[in-house]
Amino acid sequence: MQLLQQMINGVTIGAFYVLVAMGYTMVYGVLKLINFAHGDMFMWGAYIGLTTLTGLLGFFAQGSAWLAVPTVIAVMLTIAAVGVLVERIAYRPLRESGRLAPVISALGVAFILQSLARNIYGASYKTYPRDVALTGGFAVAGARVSLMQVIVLVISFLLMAVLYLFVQRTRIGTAMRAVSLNHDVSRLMGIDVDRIISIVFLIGPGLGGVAGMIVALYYGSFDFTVGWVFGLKAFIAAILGGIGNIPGAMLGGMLLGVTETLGAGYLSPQWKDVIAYIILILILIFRPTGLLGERVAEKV
Amino acid sequence: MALLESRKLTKQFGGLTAVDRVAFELKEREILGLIGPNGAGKTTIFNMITGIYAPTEGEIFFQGRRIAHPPLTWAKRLTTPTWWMSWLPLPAVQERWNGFRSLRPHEITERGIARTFQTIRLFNNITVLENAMSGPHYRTQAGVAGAIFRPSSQRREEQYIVDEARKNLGFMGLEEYEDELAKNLPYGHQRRLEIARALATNPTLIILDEPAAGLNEQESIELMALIEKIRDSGITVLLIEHDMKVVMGICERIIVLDYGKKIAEGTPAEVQGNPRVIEAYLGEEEKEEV
Amino acid sequence: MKDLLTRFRAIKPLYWQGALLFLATLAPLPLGDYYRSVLWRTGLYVMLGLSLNIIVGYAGLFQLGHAAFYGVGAYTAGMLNIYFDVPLLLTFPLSVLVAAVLGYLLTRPILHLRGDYLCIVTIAFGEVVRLVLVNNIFGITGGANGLSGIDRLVLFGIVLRAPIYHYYIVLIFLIITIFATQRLQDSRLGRAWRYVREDEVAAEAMGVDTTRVKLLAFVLGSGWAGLAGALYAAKITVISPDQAKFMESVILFCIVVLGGTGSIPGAFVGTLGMVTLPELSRPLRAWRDAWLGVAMVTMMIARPEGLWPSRQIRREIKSEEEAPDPSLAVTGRSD
Repeated sequence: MQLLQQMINGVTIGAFYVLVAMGYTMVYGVLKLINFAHGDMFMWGAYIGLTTLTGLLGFFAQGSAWLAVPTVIAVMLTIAAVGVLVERIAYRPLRESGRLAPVISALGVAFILQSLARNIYGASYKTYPRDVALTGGFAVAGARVSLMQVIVLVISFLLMAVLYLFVQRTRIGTAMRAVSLNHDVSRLMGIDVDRIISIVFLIGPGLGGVAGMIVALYYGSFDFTVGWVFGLKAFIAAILGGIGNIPGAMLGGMLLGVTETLGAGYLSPQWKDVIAYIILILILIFRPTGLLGERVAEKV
Repeated sequence: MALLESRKLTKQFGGLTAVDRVAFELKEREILGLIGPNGAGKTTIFNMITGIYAPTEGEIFFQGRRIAHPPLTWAKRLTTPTWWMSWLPLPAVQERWNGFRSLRPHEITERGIARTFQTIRLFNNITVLENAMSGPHYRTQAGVAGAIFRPSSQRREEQYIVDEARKNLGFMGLEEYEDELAKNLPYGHQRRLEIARALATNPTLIILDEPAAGLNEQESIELMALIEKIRDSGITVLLIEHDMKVVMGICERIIVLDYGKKIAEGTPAEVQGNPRVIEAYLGEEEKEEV
Repeated sequence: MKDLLTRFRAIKPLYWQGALLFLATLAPLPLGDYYRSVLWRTGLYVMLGLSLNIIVGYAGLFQLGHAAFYGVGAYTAGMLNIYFDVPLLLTFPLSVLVAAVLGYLLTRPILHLRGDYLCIVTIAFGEVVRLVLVNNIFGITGGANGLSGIDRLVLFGIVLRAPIYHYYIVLIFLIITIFATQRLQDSRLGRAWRYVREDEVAAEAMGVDTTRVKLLAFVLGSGWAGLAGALYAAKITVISPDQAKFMESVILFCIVVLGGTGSIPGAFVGTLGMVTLPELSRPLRAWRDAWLGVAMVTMMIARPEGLWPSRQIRREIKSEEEAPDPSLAVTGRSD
């Protein structure tokens, strides 16, 4: 059943987009900044994962899917650290500088990260060792679901759920939501805004990095440009759902993944990216606050 | 005929009704004051007159022509032949289409209504003269070709713009500051510049949104004289103001708003004695203990 | 030092401009073909920078998809020449026209968008244009490798092959561009752009048709970029979708913003830093993205108005630093 297969694939890609989109949306929420460097943190997640995995394989000399666990942890920690570092160096000095300067700085960071990856790792495609990836799958109603897909989806949904609960139910999560509404009032309420923002940059890029590793594992190969397009798509997903809004990122990611896959399947794969961009343009023209966002007007 | 009139003017922001079926009339060459407690809807009415908001219901007419109208729903648009034809650049069609929509702010200015803002919105980083030069902008034409080739018509036009700007600066007593950056002017002069800039658009009606805000006693008295001077030069004045000395001093008629509704209208004396007005500002009078 | 600057400013502009022109005319003569090409590329990018300056510097609109129009101009010239044998010189005005019309069509629906959202939409548009070119729409754009085989430009019977000819052509167009943009800045239209830049709501209230004014900036800037594209096609004779890629748009944006927003010397400074320097330095070329990135981050932190901004922009940034904008929507008390 072609449609079902497309839907399954679409949901899988959607899950990836969601993981990355959540990072975008969280950062936008607290800083009102579009962190263009986020996609490159995703890309670095893939590289760090590869390095770690290769190292572990060298150590253990025998592949096993369980090696993925320490790798994921390593990736999460490393990229989270990168995220916090980037925030400190490139974004914090620009907090009061209007809207344009941070965006340009973010772009700059993106280029630096890309350039570093290209020069350190080389421009060729890298592949993840196959023995770590799970093979096999099963058939469902005429469509094929691979084991990888199932695991990936399970992990993704788990992460989404954890993040959602974290933001909604914990004190830090509530502090994050306060900071995303108003920095000054949050400070008056006793919230350490800088610390909260650092935490956001731990979680967001951390998730993004993990997503990068998972995607690279899933597809098998990647290069240093994977961050850019993926990041942009995830960003589109975040905007689609309503930027600054975590459930929005989830909805947007899923919608984008499914629409894109269906479009590529039924129309033409070449135009996959164009579809995503056109969705973005239409959303920004007609409903810039996204599907789940609130409408805000300027007061004169 | 009234210069400006509104019928059943209403504005809702989501669940909040900011302006509730307000009807008023403004006669030529009068100074009309619009007063009321904060939140009463005064600036919202101004914003609807000047095209920043479209009314949710009701209409506004200026010199007999409609300038504000609730936005047409898509259903209405598709069923109105004029909308289908509105892309045609024919003046007759455009005139008809204008009757169905609210005019944009710059079109309102072209029709002859100028305004100042509650919080000063000057062009801060350019000179006082350049600020005033924005007034004659819509009356002049020079475009890309004029800018690049500078024919004599363009040079004459530039001179006209500068002269008009200077004239209005002079009217408000700001000539000597012409080369100062707007942001460097003292507050009182900034208020005057806002008015001078509005006057430079050659309006028939000028709307002043709290022109006396932040002015001291002396400056307020000067402001009152300036407003009368404006009226004497042939321009009608509509004014929002909280400073009662100014309001009672120069307004010939006053309209009072509270919670979006018009609650009183009349001369300063009539309005001052109106119990509803007193109640709106001060709350209900305490019952006297006998 | 200050004394020197005051004395420098006192010299009539005509003299040092004449001197620069003289230098520019003589510069390629002692150099080899490679460096002449570098000069050509510098001139071309200054022109592109100035075209973007109209949009970003004068009107204050964020445009991160400008390279799309550069590409469209090149493709118009190239395709007309390859498919219809139109002599290259005649394709120039058409390149301008097509790019300008495309600029109108793409920006008309997005003018109401606020700063960072406008930024994103322009990125998206740029990418869509590039992908349309890559995907070989209707089979005419040649796909990812582009098109080659554009005829050489023929002027007064001479076939212009050597880089030096193209340098002088670009120099002539560059001078025209500088002249035109200077005049635009100092005109009724330039003032209208400044008003819109300063406070769009107030500008609209003063009778300035802000939509028209913003659109004009986009159309002019895009058309000009189209001209640059045609000039590119004339020299390189090969066109590819890479001309319209996002990195190009970012470079152009950086030329304007980092070099000095709103000013003509700023475009020169920006081009030297973003284009000429990497061309001349091998290590810089390998790390070009990082160089760009570092420049962007440090400039935004240290000197957001750019190295040589126009006076007005410097004023704006200074006043923002003293009293940061409480929000971009000015609020009044409720009424």
